[in-house]
Amino acid sequence: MKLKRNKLTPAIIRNLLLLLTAFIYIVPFYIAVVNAFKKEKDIFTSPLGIPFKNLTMDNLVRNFNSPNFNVLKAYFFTICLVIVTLILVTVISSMLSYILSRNRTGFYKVAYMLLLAGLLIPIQVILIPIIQILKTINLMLTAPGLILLYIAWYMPFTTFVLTGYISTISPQLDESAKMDGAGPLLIFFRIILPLMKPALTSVAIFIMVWTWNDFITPLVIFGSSKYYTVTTGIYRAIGQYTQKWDDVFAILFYAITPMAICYLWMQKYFISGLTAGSVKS
Amino acid sequence: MKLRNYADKKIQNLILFAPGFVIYVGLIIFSIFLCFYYSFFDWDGISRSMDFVGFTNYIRALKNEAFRNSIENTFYFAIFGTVIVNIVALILAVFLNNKGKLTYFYRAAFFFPQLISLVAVGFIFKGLLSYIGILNTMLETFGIQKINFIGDPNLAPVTVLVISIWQTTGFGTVLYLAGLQAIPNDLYEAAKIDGANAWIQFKAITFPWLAPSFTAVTIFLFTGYMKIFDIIFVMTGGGPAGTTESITIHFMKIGFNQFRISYASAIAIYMMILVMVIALILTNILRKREENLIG
Repeated sequence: MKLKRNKLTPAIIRNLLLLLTAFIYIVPFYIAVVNAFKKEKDIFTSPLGIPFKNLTMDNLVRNFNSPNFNVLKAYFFTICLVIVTLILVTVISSMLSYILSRNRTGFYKVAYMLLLAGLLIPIQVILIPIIQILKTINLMLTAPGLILLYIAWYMPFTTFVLTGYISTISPQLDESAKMDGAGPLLIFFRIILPLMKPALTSVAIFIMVWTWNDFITPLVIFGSSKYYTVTTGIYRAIGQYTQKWDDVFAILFYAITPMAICYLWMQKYFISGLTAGSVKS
Repeated sequence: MKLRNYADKKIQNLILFAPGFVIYVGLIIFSIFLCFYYSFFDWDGISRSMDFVGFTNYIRALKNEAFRNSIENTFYFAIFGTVIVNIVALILAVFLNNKGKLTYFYRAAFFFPQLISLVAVGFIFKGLLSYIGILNTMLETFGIQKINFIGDPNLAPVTVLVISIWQTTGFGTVLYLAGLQAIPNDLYEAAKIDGANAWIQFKAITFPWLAPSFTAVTIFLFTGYMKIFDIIFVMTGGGPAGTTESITIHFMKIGFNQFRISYASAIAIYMMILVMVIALILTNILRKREENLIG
């Protein structure tokens, strides 16, 4: 009897603590979502209740489209941004990684070191000069300008992960293809790239989450122009009436939902992808 | 024929190598040089005149109260944040490692804030904690004195710290959990046969084996905290009275509100040096520690 209790008590304490922590993690999101569907006065009379009776869609409808923030426009713009960035970064970085992984001496070694140094740079060092650079090439305040910056900015991390992964692919594969007369381009696109799927998934999740959630870069690149992403859009929209919680929570509902759905859908990939990448770096 | 093949191979290699490398060097490396360059001048970013002033901006920053304050605040967040997240994440990971029915649910819940933009997180907590927010309204109905989580200069840094801990703990937990699962089970079996209790098992097996996870979590957190921006920008903007002003917020104020481009560049360079030096020191210390613990 005594033995049994000894085994049970830690388990109960453990589960209680975990449950409490999970509660602390879920409650803020729960409050944001629930209150997006309540009238302002109901938010204050019962902030925690589920609005069975007084459910209102008014907040969501009202905040769907305002002069500062149109939900569809923000979604569309951000999704396009993520997709284009994702494709360009993975392709360009895989190509670069292939060369860096197969040539580890001389100039290529220096190039690799130069890329690794980029892992430690805070974005603030870039923000002021990049405005001048993008102005010079006429890409300031444009989406291509931001995408170009993303490609450059993500290059150290993606190259680091992908170079490591390609080194695990046997160079003998290259050799035998070379025997058959294939050049580096053919070898990369036909043989290496298809084998990189696991590493590319991990990198892609990183880029997706980073780009979707990035705030400071679009804030600086787009300024107060007509372009906004989801993050800079909600900042614009909420910045003005932070005190009206029904509006705030409705806008936050729009901001949270896409990622939440993605996460529920592909949770396994998210957690393993994001941790695998960071352990390596 | 062979020569042509060789030249062809060179060109193909270049096609693979050049785009990524040129974009990186042209934008990132060139930007760092430009930032250095600007920092030695007196310039507002627009006017044609740029006066060379040497190290004036760097010296001015060191003497500046607000800049030093922002470094202090950043270290406050970085040190407390890294230590507390490490402890909490390790405890949660050890708990989660005993597989139960809800393990995956817990892991998913803790990890979720990692995916939500910090802007949204900041606004959610502003809604919860502001003086006229959800929590204070509830306190009021229960007749308890309201708490000014965001507006009180003593409380605001703690509020920001706690939210950032809340946000990053899930990430640390998942990393530690991965480390725990890499420990071979026979070690524990052997220890049990030798009669080691749970605490001794933790000290002799778990703790040393987690050294690589500890290194990863610590470096990731500390350098991440050095760059803390979004939550503060949204929730307090650096206030009240500069008590939550991090280096990044200070930089944004100088560079993008006051348009003191060259002075802001000097601050950015200081920040880069700080982050790099800390990352190198931490990596060295923690790698040595790993070797000592495992070797």
